[in-house]
Amino acid sequence: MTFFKNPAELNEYRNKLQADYAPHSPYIAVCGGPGCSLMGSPDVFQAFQEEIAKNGLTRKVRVKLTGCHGFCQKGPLALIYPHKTLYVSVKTKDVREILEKTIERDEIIERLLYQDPVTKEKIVQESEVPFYKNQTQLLLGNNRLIDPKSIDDYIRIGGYSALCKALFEMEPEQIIQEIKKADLRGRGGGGFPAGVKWETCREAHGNIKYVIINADEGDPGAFMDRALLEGNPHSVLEGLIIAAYAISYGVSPAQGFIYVRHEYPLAVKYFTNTVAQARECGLLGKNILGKEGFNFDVQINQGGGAFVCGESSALMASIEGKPGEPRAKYVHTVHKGIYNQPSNLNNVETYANVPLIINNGADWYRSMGTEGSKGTKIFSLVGKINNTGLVEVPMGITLRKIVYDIGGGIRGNKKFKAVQTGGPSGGVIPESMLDLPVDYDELSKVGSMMGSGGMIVMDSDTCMVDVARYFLDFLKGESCGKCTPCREGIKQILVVLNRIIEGKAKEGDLERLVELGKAVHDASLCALGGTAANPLLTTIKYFEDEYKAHIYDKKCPAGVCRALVTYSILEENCTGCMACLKQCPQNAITGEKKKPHKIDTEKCIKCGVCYETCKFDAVVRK
Amino acid sequence: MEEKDKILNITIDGKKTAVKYGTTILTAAKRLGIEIPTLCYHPALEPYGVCRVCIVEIKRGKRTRVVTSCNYPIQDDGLEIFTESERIKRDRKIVLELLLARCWSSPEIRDFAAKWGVVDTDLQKTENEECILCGLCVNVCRDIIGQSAIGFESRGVDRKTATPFGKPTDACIACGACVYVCPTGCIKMEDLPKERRIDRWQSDVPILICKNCGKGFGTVKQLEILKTKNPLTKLYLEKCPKCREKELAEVMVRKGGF
Repeated sequence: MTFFKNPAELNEYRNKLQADYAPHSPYIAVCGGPGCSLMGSPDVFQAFQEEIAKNGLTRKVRVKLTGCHGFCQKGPLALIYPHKTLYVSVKTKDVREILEKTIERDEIIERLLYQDPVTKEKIVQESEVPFYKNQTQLLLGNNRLIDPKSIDDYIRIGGYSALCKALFEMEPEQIIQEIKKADLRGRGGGGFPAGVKWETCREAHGNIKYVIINADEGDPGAFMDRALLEGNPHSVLEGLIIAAYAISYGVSPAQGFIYVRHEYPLAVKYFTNTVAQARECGLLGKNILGKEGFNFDVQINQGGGAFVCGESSALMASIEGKPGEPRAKYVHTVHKGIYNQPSNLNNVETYANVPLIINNGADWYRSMGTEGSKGTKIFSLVGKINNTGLVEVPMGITLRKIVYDIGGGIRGNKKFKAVQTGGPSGGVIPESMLDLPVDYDELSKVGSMMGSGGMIVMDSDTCMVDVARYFLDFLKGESCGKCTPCREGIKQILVVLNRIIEGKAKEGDLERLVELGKAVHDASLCALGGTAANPLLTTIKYFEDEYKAHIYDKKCPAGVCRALVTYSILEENCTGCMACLKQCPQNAITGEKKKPHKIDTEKCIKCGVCYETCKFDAVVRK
Repeated sequence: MEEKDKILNITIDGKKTAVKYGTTILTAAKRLGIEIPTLCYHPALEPYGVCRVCIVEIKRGKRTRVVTSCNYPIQDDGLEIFTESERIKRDRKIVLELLLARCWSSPEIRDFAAKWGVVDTDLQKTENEECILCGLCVNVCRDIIGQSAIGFESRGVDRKTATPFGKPTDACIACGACVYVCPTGCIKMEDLPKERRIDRWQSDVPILICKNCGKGFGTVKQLEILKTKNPLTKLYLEKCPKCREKELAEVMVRKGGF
């Protein structure tokens, strides 16, 4: 590895890498994201390597196991350059054929192409697949082009050019102004303007400035930050170094931290590697790239698995070695953070945006998005949707576009019911608001939030009372227990919710839930408690009828809450096939062949097996 | 002028007053004779801000928000504070109900809640729980005594105060500071003839016997700690306060005053 003494050396090195690259020769990007990996992409990658070596193609074909491409639903993915042919659900047995046909003879393998479920048309190019067509992958896009373990790959595609520009063509204040002008808002959830935070931190009194990456991504089902750390870790580090320069240069020394959850071992490994490479290249350490007096290094801290440690003051306490509990932030962490020194905390995705803004300018960045939210946002689109995966969209896109155009609509042609945004402490948004533009302010206005970017789609088989219970149960387990409203309030809300779900609701329970929810929101110490009631309050706001059905009619309209559901057999539909009878674990179904069966409600445990088994719609759930 | 020297004009429940930058709302309210309920606040300790009964509503410009008065430092001129707004009444009632449900068996909490208007609750009550997790015991042990013998264990509803790993600890000197600050009286201390016992921390520490009168006072471990931190002689520390007084009185009589 080369040690760069100045930007010219780095530029020269990049030019050399680019000259050696030969962009028109075949390159296979096998997605190594979490979804594809589980479906066997590392084996596919290995098979490619072996076949290439066996056939003496090493000089002709490059293959890389890259970071996440996003389309988890169809993994393992293999993207083949130069034509950007996308093959989906690739197995190891397909590898030889791909090399023989697509690489050697430039033929398309129909079978491996993505087929549009509606038009039945086979799509060759990745950019034409509806899932990708409506996205703007500024941050995720580069994942395909690089091996996350290689600094050379990152430098080749222009990496660290923003750092050079920031250090040698811009003053720290100028960088802050540029970030402020770009209106980059914190991607971790709060949406606080990053430039303002940096400026406050620069001006705050202290002996040292701490600059921290928050990679404690704890929302169930969310993996945006993971995809960046495991796909393009150098871009995050570059953003951090620029931030450190803007915040500290000329006023005080600086120290960097990354707080990454230990459940992301690959992210930890890659980022450790990234930091080591950057040190060797002179991108971390003393007088970075020859910039006199700019010394900066990063320490890697692993979280111990507490959701609340994603909250800034809890995260900082944890870095100090104290229990990861939040404290009151009436004096902000930019003034008194780690060891009471000014500390700037931003999320992984926020930092990844920084090099883009420095390179392309604030005006370019502002051209995307809405009045109050600029740029793009990565969402993890999961739930009852056809195309699950990571999507990066410009701010202001409607929920409808995400759910239907990118997500491909609801699985099994069921009806859309709601979408939960912002993770467990976000809110639920009903169908009537599908045309809502996705930006920080619009989402807060309807009682939800951007959060870190989780997006869980629910269909008509989802019970909203059960959804509220699920999220509150998660939060009950993750509450640190420090303050009364969060610790005791969530517990008591769950007592009432469980009562409702079990059919033992009392008059006034609904009003009581609202009262408890509001108090937990108002009186909790930190944002975890402050937002914990969101799933409860928004489900009540938008699905009050469903709550009332549970409370007053003792019915669960979605047929989810067991205690409120009864199964029976419609005589006219029952053919007497005995399928349900054989499946019933309780022997609760009686009847003879070719005669209508009956369910003994006393014996029935409401497992729903009969309902799933019956092919004649004879079993009814009410 | 430095920020910390600024004098700020504020109103609390409509009453105007001027305070120094950084004064807490609780202190400012007290000076005006406005009582705000507190449980986890103790003047000898840094405010911890966790029981949340001292919440008040503040208004800056058009924005209102709920904050805890014990640790909110007043930083803005023109801040308006409401200790009894409708929102505060509703939220505080719930917080009191939550504490009452948790500590239904604690007479202190029932009296406290009753004083602030909550006599009963329909929330699920926990039996045999008297600790409200205010943290005063943990904080006094760490910040005043300097022993850190106890801390918090587990999280969420399972959170409790305990010694490390729930085992007896040498760090506990049975000084009784935790017993003294506990607002619910759930930490019990008992002086047996030869040792002092704090059941909650499984602490049994030998009692210090007065070199003069032979009566027990304090604990042997307390003396060990005091010896390292105190310029007073061992001879003086080993006598009980009564004997010390008596000795002092005798000296004064002999000398005819100071």
